[in-house]
Amino acid sequence: MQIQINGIVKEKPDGLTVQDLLESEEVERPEMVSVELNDHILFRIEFRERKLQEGDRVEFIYLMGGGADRTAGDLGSAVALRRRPESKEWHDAEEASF
Amino acid sequence: MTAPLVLSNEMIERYSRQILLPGIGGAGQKKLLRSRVLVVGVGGLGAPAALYLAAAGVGTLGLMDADEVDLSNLQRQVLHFTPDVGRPKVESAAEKLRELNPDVQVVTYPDRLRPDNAAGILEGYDFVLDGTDSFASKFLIADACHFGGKPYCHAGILRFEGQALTVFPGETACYRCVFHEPPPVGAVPTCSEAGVLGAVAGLLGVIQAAEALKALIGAGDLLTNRLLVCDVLRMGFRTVRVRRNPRCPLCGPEPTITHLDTAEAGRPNGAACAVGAAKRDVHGLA
Repeated sequence: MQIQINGIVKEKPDGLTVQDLLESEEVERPEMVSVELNDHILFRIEFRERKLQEGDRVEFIYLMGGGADRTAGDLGSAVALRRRPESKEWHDAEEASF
Repeated sequence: MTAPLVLSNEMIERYSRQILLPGIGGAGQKKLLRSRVLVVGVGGLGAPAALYLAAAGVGTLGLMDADEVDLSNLQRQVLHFTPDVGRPKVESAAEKLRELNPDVQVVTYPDRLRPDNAAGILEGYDFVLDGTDSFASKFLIADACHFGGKPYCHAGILRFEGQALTVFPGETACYRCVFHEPPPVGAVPTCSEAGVLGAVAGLLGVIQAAEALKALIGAGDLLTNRLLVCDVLRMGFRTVRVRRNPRCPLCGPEPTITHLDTAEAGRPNGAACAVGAAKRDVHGLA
């Protein structure tokens, strides 16, 4: 099936769950990611059960901190490590999103 | 300071290039001069944002930061210069901004935003810029702005990437609609491990300033209900549609966060910034 991930259309096996997708996309820190499926943010507990379907649009939205170093509580700052998309994929996404 | 009702000749000259703009004009400039913006965090995001807000003639700029200038800040925090190392950031920033534009009243808060001081400080402002680094601060700003009914612009930066979202509480998707609660503390490495390009901080800070100016004037389309994401390494920009989340713990119809938890204010890291989120794992995000 074809699904759109961060604006890029990709071929994925049928029956894939959101959790499977996080793994197949090699998201290194899934705890730092919100997943939006067809414009609706999912709860984390839904990742394992929610099966993806042909034409679904998935956005991985990363928590990002990074401003003044210690303005309030000091939890450290935000980092979302992940596999970076290839350049070509990003440019394809540009075309898809505008 | 009372904003002037009549623009002086000097003001007309100073702001001429933006007074010329459709949607601003003399009336828009007067609005800016009467406006009050709070910049929380005068670092990579807040410094460039404050520069543009001051230059544009925002009447009152609140600067909040408890830190002192560190040599490692200078790569991106453009309001602070080499001789400022060791000075309080709000002092260093206020000095530059007053020199840049004496029309602007700069108010400094050499303090951290906490659940017990947030409401009182936010109350005097029309718009809030989140220029903070930690998630505790970002969630606290989102919560405090929600309860205070203050519009704000969130931004985050990391390495070569950034994101921004403007929120009108109760009207548009909020920070917690997208990110329900902070990640577990142990899951968050420090900024020094990850790094960020100074120009990315500047880019996002200036986007926040532009959002604040537009919101104050009432011009154009804001970054509401859409999250701007950009990758400067590839120089690509996208906006991701985000909706108000019916299950949002803060602004949804059945919120689990009902007020700022001032009882938690004494905690050293203020991690539990609002009641509910830290205590009930109803969102499955623990």
